[in-house]
Amino acid sequence: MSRLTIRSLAAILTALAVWPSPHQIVSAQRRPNIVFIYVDDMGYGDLGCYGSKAIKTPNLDRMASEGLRLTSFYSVSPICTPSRAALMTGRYAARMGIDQMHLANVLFPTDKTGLPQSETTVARALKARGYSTACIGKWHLGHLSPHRPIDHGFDYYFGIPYSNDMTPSPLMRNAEVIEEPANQDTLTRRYTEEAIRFIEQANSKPFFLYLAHHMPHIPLHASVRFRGKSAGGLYGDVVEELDWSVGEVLKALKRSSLDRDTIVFFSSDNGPWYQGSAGPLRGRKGWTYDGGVREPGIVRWPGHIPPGRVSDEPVATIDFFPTARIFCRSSWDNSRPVRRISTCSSTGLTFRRRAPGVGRFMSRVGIFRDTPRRRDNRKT
Amino acid sequence: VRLVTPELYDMTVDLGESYDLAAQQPKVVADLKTRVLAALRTFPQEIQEANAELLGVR
Repeated sequence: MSRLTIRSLAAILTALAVWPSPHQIVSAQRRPNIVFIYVDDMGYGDLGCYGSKAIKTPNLDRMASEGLRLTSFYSVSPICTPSRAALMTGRYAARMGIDQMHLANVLFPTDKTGLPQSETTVARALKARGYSTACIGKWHLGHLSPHRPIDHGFDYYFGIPYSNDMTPSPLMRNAEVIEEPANQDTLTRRYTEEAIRFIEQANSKPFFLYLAHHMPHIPLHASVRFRGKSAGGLYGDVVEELDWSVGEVLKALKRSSLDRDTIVFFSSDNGPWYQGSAGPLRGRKGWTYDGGVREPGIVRWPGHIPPGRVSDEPVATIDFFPTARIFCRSSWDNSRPVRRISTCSSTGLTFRRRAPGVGRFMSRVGIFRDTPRRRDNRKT
Repeated sequence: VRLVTPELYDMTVDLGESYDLAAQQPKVVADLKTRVLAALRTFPQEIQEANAELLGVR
């Protein structure tokens, strides 16, 4: 297996030769806006740029060609709630002491609990640095106070607070129910409109937009104009509408002249469920074989990320929070050294501290079912 | 599904995780298991207790 190690080392050296150093990146003059677009239950193989023949995703394909496409981007759980807890906090959900939030558990409308106040979300961290923050779409980290988005650093919330197959399905604006049950046919379109409105109202203030679409989680719903169009059936229609949504968000950034000041991330919370494709990977949602946890991962930041990069470096959703903090902290106090980090990935985008002696490897044993790690290219 | 028997896949040639090499590569499995256990010990006590069989204390 030694050749695997050699292969990894070669990849890292190649990447380092091309990429700007992390210090070059963090010395960027402006505090960048951050947009994280997160879709629900979409597979590794459902986008054109990840090999789908049935589903057309020209906007995401273009986003990838203009930025970085990650081929080993991992969610740290194969199901919704712990995935989202980790994305929002940079920590494994199993560390949070809430039984309903890890392993095979997700939160239900009957649950009174949720993300504890002792956790710091990326929204709260960025808000403390002057960012406007919005969560649009699926939260699924608790729908009652003090677990809601507006209790966790988001200035604004619009969406169904948990999964779209749960009853009741209230559409909420901040703390108020505005529609019940939510009309899901128009959900993707309305989330997109809300996101664009938020971007356009940002003015000169930096912002963090967490756009967490409910689709393509079942029940599948698409706008009339997208229905019956895809070779991938209704699932394909739904993904193609999500692709349209990404295109609209990127257009809005360009219209507002924020294109080069905004990092846009795209991924999915876990693998595909009933429909959808995990591509060449084994397993689906709920499993920690790669089909359950390896997701499309696309990052675009014109002027900072060279176009057309593809990286197989293992990166995970728990890397997002520390990455965002470093990018967004840098420009308001250049005199302060960036918080010391022990590891910097060859993508130039991922910064994260690891416990000494803990490498990257995958495990699907016991609690570690929801904490995949990968070491070189070996998994156990 | 709770898998307590380790499985090992060579992702460079077996992206689909179809060929379990755990029996052929016991040293790799042992090395990775050591790392899993080290990581597990950083988790809250109740999580460790739920995985006592992994830690070999039950």
